[in-house]
Amino acid sequence: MIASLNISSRPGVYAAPPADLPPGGREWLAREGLRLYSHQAAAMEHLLAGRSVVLSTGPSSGKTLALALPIVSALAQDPGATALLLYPMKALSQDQLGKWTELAEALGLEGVVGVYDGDTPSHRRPRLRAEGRILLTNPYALHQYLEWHHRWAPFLKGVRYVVVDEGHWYRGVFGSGVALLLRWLGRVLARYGAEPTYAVASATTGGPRLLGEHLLGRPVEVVNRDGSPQGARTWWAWEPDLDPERSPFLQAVDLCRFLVGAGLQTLAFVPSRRMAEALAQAVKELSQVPSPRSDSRPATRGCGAVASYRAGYRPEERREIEAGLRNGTLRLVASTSALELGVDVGGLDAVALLGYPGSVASARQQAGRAGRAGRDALVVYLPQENPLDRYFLGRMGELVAGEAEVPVLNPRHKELAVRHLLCAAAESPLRKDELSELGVEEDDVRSLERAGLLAQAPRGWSYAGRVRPAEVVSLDALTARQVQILVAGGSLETWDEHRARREAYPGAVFLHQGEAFRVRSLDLETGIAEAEPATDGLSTKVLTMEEARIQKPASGVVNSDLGLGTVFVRETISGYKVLDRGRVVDTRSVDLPPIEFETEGVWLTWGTDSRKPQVTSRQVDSGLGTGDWVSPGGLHAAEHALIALVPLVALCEPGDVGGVSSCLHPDTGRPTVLVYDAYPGGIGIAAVLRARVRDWVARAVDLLASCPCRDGCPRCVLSPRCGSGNQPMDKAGAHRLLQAWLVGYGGRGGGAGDAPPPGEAGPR
Amino acid sequence: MGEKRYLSKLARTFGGTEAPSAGPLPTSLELDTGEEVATQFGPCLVLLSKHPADLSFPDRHRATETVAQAFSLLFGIGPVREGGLRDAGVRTFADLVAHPRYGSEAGRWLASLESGDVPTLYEGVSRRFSASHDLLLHLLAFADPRDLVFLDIETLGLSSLPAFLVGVGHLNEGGLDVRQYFARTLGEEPAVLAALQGALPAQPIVVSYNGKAYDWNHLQARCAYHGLEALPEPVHLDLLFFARRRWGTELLDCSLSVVERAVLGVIRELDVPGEYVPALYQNYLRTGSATALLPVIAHNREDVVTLARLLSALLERVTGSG
Repeated sequence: MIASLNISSRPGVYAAPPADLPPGGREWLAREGLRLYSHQAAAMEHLLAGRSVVLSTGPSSGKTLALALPIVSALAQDPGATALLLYPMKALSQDQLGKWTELAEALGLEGVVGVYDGDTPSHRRPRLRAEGRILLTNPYALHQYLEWHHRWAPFLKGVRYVVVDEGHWYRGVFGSGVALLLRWLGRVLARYGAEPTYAVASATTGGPRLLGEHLLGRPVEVVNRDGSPQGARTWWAWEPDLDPERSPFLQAVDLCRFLVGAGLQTLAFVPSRRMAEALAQAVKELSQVPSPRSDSRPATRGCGAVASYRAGYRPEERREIEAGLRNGTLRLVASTSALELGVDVGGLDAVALLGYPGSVASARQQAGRAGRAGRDALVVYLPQENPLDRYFLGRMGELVAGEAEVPVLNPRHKELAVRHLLCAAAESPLRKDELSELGVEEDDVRSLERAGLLAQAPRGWSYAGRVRPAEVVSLDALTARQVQILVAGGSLETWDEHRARREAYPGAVFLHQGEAFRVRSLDLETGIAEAEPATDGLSTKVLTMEEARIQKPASGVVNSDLGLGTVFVRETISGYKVLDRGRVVDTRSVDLPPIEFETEGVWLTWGTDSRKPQVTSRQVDSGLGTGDWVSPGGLHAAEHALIALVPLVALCEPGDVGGVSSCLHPDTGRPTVLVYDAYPGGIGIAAVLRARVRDWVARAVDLLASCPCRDGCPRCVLSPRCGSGNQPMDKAGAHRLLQAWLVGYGGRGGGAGDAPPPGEAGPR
Repeated sequence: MGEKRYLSKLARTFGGTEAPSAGPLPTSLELDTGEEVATQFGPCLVLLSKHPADLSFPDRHRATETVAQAFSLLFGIGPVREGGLRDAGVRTFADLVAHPRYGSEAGRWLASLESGDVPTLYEGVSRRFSASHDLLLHLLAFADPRDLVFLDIETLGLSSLPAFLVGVGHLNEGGLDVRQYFARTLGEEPAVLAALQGALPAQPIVVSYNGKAYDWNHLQARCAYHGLEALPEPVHLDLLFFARRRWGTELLDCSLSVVERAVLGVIRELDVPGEYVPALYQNYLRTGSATALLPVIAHNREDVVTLARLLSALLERVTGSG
């Protein structure tokens, strides 16, 4: 153990129910003897006053009640009113149904409360549509139903509240798709005269206002001061043992056995489904071996007390594990992030974070599972070998209480917006005045008219295609062009073309539910990749070379240290490395056409007074040294450090961005590091990076300063994906460059904080 | 990716007419006998054709007797009780009017039969019997023939995709007038729907083939889509159900073409298979030439005419005149 941090307990902050809460709701609170936390009362007040709200507080802080009580009591007073609740997946709607039904019964709400999704038997559907007061569904289902709005007229007419639960889940491509779906929903509701109030419930997240505004496309109130009481919590950071005989997995197994052996009911979060099962299995087997000191005890003691949990289990199985956690019969559960969402499992004695879960928000959500009323809880962090894991080893405070990432989503993504526009057009004809709000221009509509997909009718453009748009527009995919991965003639997975180009090159090994497969061929014309099971245990890492040209700076002139704008990217996959248990055994080249796309990028430059590169020490007077302080190696290392830390600032995966560095970039005429959003069109990452640029660069400086290595290592600047084999690489140079950049940026009035929030501005 | 390539990919994915013609709308000359009609949603084309029709409606008195003897229409009467009533000398509802339990319901039925209230009778029969029951055909004895609407539509596809041709047949002086409302561009679809609404009687009796599941629902969805008023709730005789009941066991399948060949002896030459219809319409949109569309229009017209002939064949069996 290298660090321990004690967070003392925090008493609850309570508040009186808002004056607008209908008597039914008040009486219920009195009957149940419940007091409201301050954040619950605040959220209720907004909702009852018809103001849309984002409620972003920790796990077990009573978010459901904060939304359900005002909504159910308002509905109980208004017989025509209804509410629509969205959960990101079916299992969650089922989990939440009970709570809403119970409250509806207690408050005497007439009518039906039910789940309406793909699993709803067709004979039950007409009644739900006709008599539903509160319907729970998911975005995928809603996407299919909106087109049939006339059948939903009785329900849609009454919609007074729309709840989007687990709001932090809606990010990236999926989040952007759902944001667009919510705009179409609002449009359909308006047709039926409904102007609902929206509520987004979210785990603790950075930029809750931005999340709410992007998701809902309207102004929101933010409630994020958590008033719920917290037990004392101790955080341990565990320094991994670098002994090659003891793999990170074995150390994780030992840690779990230690915690369980100490009598602590433990929930272990692991990065993959496969590891969840392997960990549970290993702990189970080791516990079965009778230890010499206790051979009088039955050897199977504790055997049934270990389980794994992940998405894909049958609902009965999941219920059983959840119950085992609640009643204490299960002593250890190894879980993927599936248990992060609002499933009720009670409080645990200990939570083990076996590897950084990819975001501070996630880590805190997982840690929040620890802590039973009145008892102290333990959170143990065991990092794996990569920059982000390493970054937090010495910075437990940031993990525990630092600012969380801003979820990225981009509902103005042109290609997504255009495809969703067709969905909207299939719901009701498009009016000219709706277009700009929906992220498209009249030119786009004219193009669609030319393609014969829209037809101009007296009351707007109507959909003219032969395929139902909801059938071909997926909420998860960026483009309609898809590649099927076939194994032995059967379809294993479907990827969008962009992902296939990057991950399904011939020879690539990829994992499907923990099993390895190797790609034999990729045909982009037919949209088919053939793969076969790979049993040799080898894995692959792609090597890419990137070029990025700035097309159109959107904010900041080119002649500045910081830019944001449209960039044109050309990625060439030059080859791939073959690895055997992490060790490179071969490097092979491939011959593929380059991947070209337009996206959004953010760039840092050095040298402000001319368009020529400034390779002098003029600017830096803080003892950083003189001479050729702008070197290709320094820029390259700075690029890698910045890319590695992108997920700390914007909620996304490391592979969601790419970058280039150059001593003389043709478009800025200066030393430049450019980081771009790797999704064609941009999914919103660049705008968030620009908004939090100081924080981002400062963290990179920090990482470089604190990493114990001398010349750079995989924990700081060496990237396994680097197409030029991490050459040249100058860690110290990068440190100097980034520090100088911060000085220069801060020196021109940037000191008060970051650039203004990107809002809806930015490249088209 | 170039704009053109992007759009053509999009068009392929969503099934759009690539590059629709910007040329002039086809003239009515080209579309045979059509003329333009104006609606509050703009103009569309209507093509009128007249056909012979020979429908003998059931006799009102006999139909009243038949319905009034169907004891199981009364709530609570099953085969056993019906036997008991018959044994007790009860012959029709008229004999039950004074019955303490069934009297009021029997009285209501008799009143509806007396006034010829087709919607109420239809609803009562539908509640108790299947959609292919002969009693439903008997109810035509009470109908005003002008309320019959023989209906068939052509669309871009299943689901709620645009309808471009709506064919309706009305009985008129012993013949059948078929009006086909045609959208020369998809922008004229609301006009087609509005024209149809104008042509429907207040209480239509729709005669269709699979129209309960498809045509009528589809039109209802398209009206909702364009913000037109909802269509009236029809009395609906879907001849597919009757065909299945009468000929289902003898025929390979009950598609309209198989049934009309077997029952009416009609063999269409050069008929357009239904699955080609959307492509032919899109081809017309692309080229602006209505020539290739004429077979589709003919196909739709034939379907409407066949509906009337098929109903005639079904009625013959009911009235026993055939």
